[in-house]
Amino acid sequence: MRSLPNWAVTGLSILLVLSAWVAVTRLGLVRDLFLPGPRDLWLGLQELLDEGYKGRTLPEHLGMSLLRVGTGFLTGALAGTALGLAMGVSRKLDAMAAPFIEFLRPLPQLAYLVLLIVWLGIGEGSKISMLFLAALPVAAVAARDGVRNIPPERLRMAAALGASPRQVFWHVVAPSALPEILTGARLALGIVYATLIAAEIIAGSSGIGWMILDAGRFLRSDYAFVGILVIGLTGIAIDRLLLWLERRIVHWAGR
Amino acid sequence: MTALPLTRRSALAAAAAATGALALPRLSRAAPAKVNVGFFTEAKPTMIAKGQGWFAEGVGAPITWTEYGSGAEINTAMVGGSCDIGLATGSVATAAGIAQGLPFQVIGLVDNIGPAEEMTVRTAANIRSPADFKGKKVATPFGSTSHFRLLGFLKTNGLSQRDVTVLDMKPAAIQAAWAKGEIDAAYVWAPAKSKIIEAGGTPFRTWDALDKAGYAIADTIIVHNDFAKAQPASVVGFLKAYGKALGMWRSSPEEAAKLVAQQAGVSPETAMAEMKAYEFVDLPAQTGEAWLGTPGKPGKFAEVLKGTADFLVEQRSLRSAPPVGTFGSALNTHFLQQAVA
Amino acid sequence: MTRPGFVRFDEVSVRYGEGAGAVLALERADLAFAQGDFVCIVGPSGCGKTTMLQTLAGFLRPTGGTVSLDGRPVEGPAPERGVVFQQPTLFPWMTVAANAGFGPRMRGENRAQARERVEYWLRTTGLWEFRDRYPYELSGGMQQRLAIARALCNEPKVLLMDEPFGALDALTREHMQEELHAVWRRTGMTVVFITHSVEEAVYLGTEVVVMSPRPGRILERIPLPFAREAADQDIRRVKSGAGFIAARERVLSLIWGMQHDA
Repeated sequence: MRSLPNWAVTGLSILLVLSAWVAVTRLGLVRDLFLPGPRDLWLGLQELLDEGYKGRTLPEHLGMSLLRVGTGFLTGALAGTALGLAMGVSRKLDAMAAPFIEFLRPLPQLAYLVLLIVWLGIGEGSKISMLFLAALPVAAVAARDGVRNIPPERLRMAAALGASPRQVFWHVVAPSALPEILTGARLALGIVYATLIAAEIIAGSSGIGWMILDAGRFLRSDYAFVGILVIGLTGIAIDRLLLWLERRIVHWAGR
Repeated sequence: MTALPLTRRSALAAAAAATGALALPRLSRAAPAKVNVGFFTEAKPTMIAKGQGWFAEGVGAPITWTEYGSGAEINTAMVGGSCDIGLATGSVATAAGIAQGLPFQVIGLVDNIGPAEEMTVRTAANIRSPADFKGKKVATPFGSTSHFRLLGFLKTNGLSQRDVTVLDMKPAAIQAAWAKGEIDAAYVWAPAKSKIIEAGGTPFRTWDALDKAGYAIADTIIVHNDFAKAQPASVVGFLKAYGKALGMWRSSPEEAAKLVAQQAGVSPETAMAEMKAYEFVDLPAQTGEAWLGTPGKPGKFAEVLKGTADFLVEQRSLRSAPPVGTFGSALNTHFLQQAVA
Repeated sequence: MTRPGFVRFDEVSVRYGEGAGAVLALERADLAFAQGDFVCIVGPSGCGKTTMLQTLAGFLRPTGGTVSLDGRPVEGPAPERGVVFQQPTLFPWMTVAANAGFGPRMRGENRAQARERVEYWLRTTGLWEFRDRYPYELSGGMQQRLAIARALCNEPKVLLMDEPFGALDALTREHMQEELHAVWRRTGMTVVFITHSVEEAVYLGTEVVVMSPRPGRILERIPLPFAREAADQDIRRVKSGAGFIAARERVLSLIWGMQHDA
């Protein structure tokens, strides 16, 4: 018997879960409050598209969330990468910055929610800062490890070929660390995405994360599920995009 | 722990004596092994009954106390079966839960919230009339009784959510944002309310007008249907424990405030001031027409809940609300009657 | 200072660590040779041959003595001393041509000139048609040829090779020996070559330097004729000649002797 290709297995598994969902909701085994059926979901989506949710349409909520994710992720990943590269090159700087990075990395973002509000207020600044702070340590650690894992012979070789320390950094160190930097970026994006709801708790009234949270409060699970699907699917789409970019840019990595 | 059997037995005896002959056959059931109660830390007489162990005595079993962030969370816990009794949960969450057919019933009230939750405006923002709210930022914890009141305030004054920016913030976040001067007003309860008043705020009276306009809010005691069926004596005992604490607040408020202060982690003066803002409804009064009513003849509170649910539907927080009868039958006053008998 | 020698090691010592745990990796190594020489260094592990090469490359500062090239002391890595390691150590994100042109590019050399030289060396090493490929698309032997071409594009005064063919299979290895030999004859380049293979050393070297371990020091220098004689001869033929075998056995017996002493 020939085994199925992997994409078919993926398709079948999705199909299986979907049909279980349809069956369970159709047969009324679970109340729509806990698990809305396909029809509820479809109606909920229509309502969200036509009338929006609490003053904003679904695309507006999504747009605001993506803008926050994009800004927080890009600034956090860039700053983290720059810091990580510097930490990888200079042991002294690493010794200086590492305790803060290591403290920040596992810290639940909700822990500093109130502080961010006190320091930066309730506007976009504190929301984006929270996402920035979520992305930064991940990107920094990835870049630092990327630099540390460069074979020392490669650096010696560059110097022997006549590259100045500055040239070694830009022409050898940075590109050598690129695969790990990009892997770190994908990791950071995942964490930023996971932090979105925490960020949108700050004086919310917009964003998919806030919508899910608010709809969940009174078990408005049709809206919550639509929100979860939207956030999940866009997350996968962005991750795929990054993966595609990664494969194009660092096609040489690991070979 | 060795004293446990004794207290349990004495509690049962007390409950038996209190509930009288009518309830006696039910008492033949075994007492629960333990009872899960969801609560909020706040300055109310309920804290006396909690701190003195009266609730545990009343239900005849040890109590696992779980603090929740909101009434909506207690609703969710009820669904999951991890909460038997919800103590002083807001009427908005209660109305939503009944509308959604969640498996709980209202067995009593703790308080009529009245002025205890109120709008506070930044003194410097110069807000004198409802019209002055235009273009201002007002914060409130969404899904709460305060949120409900705030939306009622906007609606009754012809203000839309475009005129006023309504922000969803937890009480702690409200204090932080207030300190930063980022919000112009907040609708919230103590202690955040008193903190922001201290930090340059002025109360803006809305509660009495809103109560009359159908935006009354209260805190209820809800019990899981399964628990109510299996442990009626415990439910009655729980209500009686609250009645006892309320009696103490009436007869010796200083002593009551001291005990509440210990539990809530505030000064006795603060506890006193905060408790004075609530209208705690005595158990016999709760069976009156103005509140829960009697079995088969639900009081006005059913209409309050119905009105609340209808408003939530309007806000699209709920998909639909059942007729007022459903809310009436969710008020189970059998236990109250036994508790005051 | 006036002693002759294009490459000179004057009483060079290298000590790793401090105090009682210190290891003398190289003890007072004295060696000088002329431009155009192909010097092969052999010896058992720990004899200090790589240490010696690293002091000449400028990767390692001797703790005593001086190393000099063309009359100037070595003070760090520099393009005048090309290096080839056992691993090709290519830049994986660069094409073959970009790898070869790395040195001239870093030194800001005239572009046209650099391109011409890159083409020359890629053609010489048989890599020109692969110039737009990436290192991972090349075989192990091609990667090592590229590493050599990259070093040569810098026009170094001396080429330092640390077991460059050590990771290749036997057949590829012989081909590479032939090609390197051909390049050396064509350019008259000075080469310092470290190897574990005595046969390789005897075939390629104008001189074999035998070193002994603990502490690392130079045991014997053996001048050899085969590199210069082998001009147009087939490699197997050279290696199977009676003179070649005798020389190979002599070097081998030196190394064997050390191991029996130990």
